[in-house]
Amino acid sequence: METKNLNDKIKNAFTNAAPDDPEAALSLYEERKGNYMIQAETKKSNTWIRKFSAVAAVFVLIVVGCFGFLFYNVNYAVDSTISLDINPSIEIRVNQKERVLDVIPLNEDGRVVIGNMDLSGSDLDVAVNALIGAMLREGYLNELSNSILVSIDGSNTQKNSQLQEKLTAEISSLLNTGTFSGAVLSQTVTANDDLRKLADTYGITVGKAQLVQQIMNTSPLYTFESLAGLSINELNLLLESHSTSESTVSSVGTASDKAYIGTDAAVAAALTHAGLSSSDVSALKTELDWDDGAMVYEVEFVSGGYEYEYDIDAKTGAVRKSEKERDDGGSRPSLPSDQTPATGDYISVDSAKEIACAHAGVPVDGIWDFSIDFERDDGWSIYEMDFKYDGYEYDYEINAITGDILKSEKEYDGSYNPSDGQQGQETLISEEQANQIALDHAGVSATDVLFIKTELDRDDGRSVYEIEFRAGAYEYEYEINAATGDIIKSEKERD
Amino acid sequence: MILCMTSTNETKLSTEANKLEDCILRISQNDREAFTVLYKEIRASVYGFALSVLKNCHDAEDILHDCYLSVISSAGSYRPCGKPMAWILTITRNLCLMKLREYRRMGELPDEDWEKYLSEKESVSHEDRLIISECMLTLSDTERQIVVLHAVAGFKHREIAGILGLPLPTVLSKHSRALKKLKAHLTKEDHFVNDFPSAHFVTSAPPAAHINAQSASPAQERNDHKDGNQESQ
Repeated sequence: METKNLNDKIKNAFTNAAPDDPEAALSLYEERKGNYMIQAETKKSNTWIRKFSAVAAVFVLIVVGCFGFLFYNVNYAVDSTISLDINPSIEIRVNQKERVLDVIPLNEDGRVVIGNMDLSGSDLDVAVNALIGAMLREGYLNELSNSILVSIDGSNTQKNSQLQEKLTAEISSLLNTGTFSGAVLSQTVTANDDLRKLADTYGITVGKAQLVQQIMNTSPLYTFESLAGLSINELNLLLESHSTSESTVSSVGTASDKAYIGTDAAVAAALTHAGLSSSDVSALKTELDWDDGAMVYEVEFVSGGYEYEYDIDAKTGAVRKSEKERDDGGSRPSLPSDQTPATGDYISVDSAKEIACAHAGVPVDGIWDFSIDFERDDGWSIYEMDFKYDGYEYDYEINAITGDILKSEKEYDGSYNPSDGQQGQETLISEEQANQIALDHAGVSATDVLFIKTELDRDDGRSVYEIEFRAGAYEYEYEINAATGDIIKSEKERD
Repeated sequence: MILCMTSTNETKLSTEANKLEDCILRISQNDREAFTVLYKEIRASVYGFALSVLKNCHDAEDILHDCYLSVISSAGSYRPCGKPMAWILTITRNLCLMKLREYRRMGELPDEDWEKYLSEKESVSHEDRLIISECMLTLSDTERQIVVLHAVAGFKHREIAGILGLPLPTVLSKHSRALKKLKAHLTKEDHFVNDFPSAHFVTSAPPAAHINAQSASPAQERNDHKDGNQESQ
C-alpha cells in the first residue's frame, strides 16, 4: 500500500467519522454566550443619526458618569470574592454592602449546585445559605466527605478577617446536621500571579491552590500536580496529619475519615503482615499520607530489634509497602520531642540523591531500585533513601534541610543490575514464537484468532511479550518471558 | 514591486493558512458565514486528534464543540502568524488534557466507545471503520496522534513535534514505524474482515489500551505545562 494512499484513507476515515453540523455548534455557542454574535446588518444606519447619537451618548455618559461613579463603587464594584470549594467550586462576588453581584460556578459540579438559582442581588448570608443547602441536597457534603474550604479575597484586610470569621461560624452551624458535623477550613487569599497561574493551569480556585501550597510545604515529595486533584476533605486530612505551626488556614471541626478503614484497622493490617501482636511492638506511630496516587496510612513500629514500616492503603487495607530493618538503636540523635519539625527550605530530592551517591562513591545515574521517603518526626525533617549498586544495597538518611548525612549503611546483597545482565548475553524468542506459545497454551489454532496484538515490554528488567487475542467468545491475555518462553501470566475472559 | 512579489509567493504557498486566518479575523467581527467555513475546515482534524487522544467519540465531540467556542471567544486575540491550524490544534490538545485530568480526578478513565459508535454512524464506510480501528488498536497513543496530525491535519513533522512537545527525531521515527505497522496490519487484516464481517466491531476494546492511556497521560501533562508557560510569556 502506498503511503500517500494510506494517508488519504486515514484522512477520509476521520473526516467521515467527525460530526458535521455547524448549526448545532453555532446554536450551542449562542445559547451559552447570549447575543455575542450580533448580526452584521444591524450596524447599517444613517451617518448623521450615528454622529448625533454619538455626541448625545458622550454627553449622557459624562453626566451619568459623574453621578454614577460613587453609586457604582458602592453597589456594583466587586469588593470581595468568596470562593467555596468541596469538589464543586463556586465563586461569589459581593459589593461593599455584602450584596451578591454574581455567583460563578468554576466547574461542572459547581454548575450542578447552582442550578437555576439566581442569587444576584441577595444578601451574602442568604446566598451562602442557599448554596450550602444545595450542596447538602446534591450530596456533595456528607458523612464521608464533610470538609469545605472558604477563601476570602478582598482588598481590606480587616474586613477579610471579619468575613472569614462570620462565614466560618455560619457554615459550621449549617453543617451541624443530625447525621454528621462539618469541617470548615477558612483562609484569606493572598494571591500572587504565580498562584493564579497555577490555579488556572489546574482548573481550581486560587483558594484551593493556596491550600495545596500550604500542604506542599510539609513535604518536598508532594507535587502540586498530585495534590491539585484531591478533594478538600482529603487535603484537610493531610493538613491535620501534618499539622504545622505555620499554617495560615484556620480549621473548625474534624475532617471525616469514614471513607477509610481507620488507624486501628491499618495497624492491625500491618501487624498481621508482620506476624506480630500489638503487645509485641513499641514506638507505634501512624500517619495518613498521600503517596503514589492513593491515601495510605503510614504505620511504623519497633519489635524484637527490628524497625517495621508499612504503607497501608487507606481504602482497602491492602499492604502497599512493607519494610523491615535491623534497628541500630538510634543512629540519629534524638531531639526533644515537643519541638515542631522545621518546615520550609528543603533541599531537593535530586540533591539529596546526589549527596548520598557522592558519599557512597557511586555514580548517580548508575544506581537502580532507588526509592525515597520523606519523614518529619522528633524534630527532624529527613529523607530516607534506598538504592542498589554493584552488588550492594545502600540505605541513607539525609537531613532534608541541611543535607547532613544522618545514617549510611551498605550491605552486600549480591544483586546486579538486571538490565545490565540481559542486554548482552540474552537472545529473545521471536514475536511469532511467543504468539505460538500463547496459542498452544490456549488450545486455539491461529486460524481461529480474530485479532492479535503483541508487544515487547521491559518490565522489572525482564523482557516480556504481552500478547492479547480474541478467539470465539473469549479474550485472552498472556505475558511470556521473552528470554525463556515461559508463560508468566495467562488470562481467559468471556468477552 | 519586490515586496509585492514576495507576498504573492507566500500567499500561494499558504492559501490554506490564509483562508483560515481570514476566517478567524472575520469571526472576531461576528461573521457567521466565516464560522461555517471554519467549521468545515477544521472539524476532521480537531475531532480526529481529540479521538486519538481520548479514544471516546462522545468526549471527542464535546472537545470539538469546546474548541469552536474557544476559537470564537479568543478569535479577537489571535495574531496572524501563518499557523492558524497549529493554534487550533494546541487549543484542542489543552482541552483534551483538561478532560483527562478531570477523569483522573474522578479516578476513572474514559470509556472507549469508538467501536460501537463508529458501527452505528452511517457516513462511516466499512473501510473507514477498519482504518480507524487499526489506528486505535495497533498504534500507541503517541503514534496514533502523530499519524492523525500528519494525515488528517496535514502537519509537517516539525510542526507535530511542536504541538506534542516531542523532539523531531522521535516524531520522525515513531511516524515511520507507525505507518509500517498500519500497512502490515491492514494487508493482513483484509482477509480477516472478509471472513468475519461484524466480529471486529461489536466487541469492546482490549484492556491493554486503558493501561496505555494511563501511562501516557502524566508525561503529556508535563508537556502541557510547558506549553502553557510559553503561551503566557
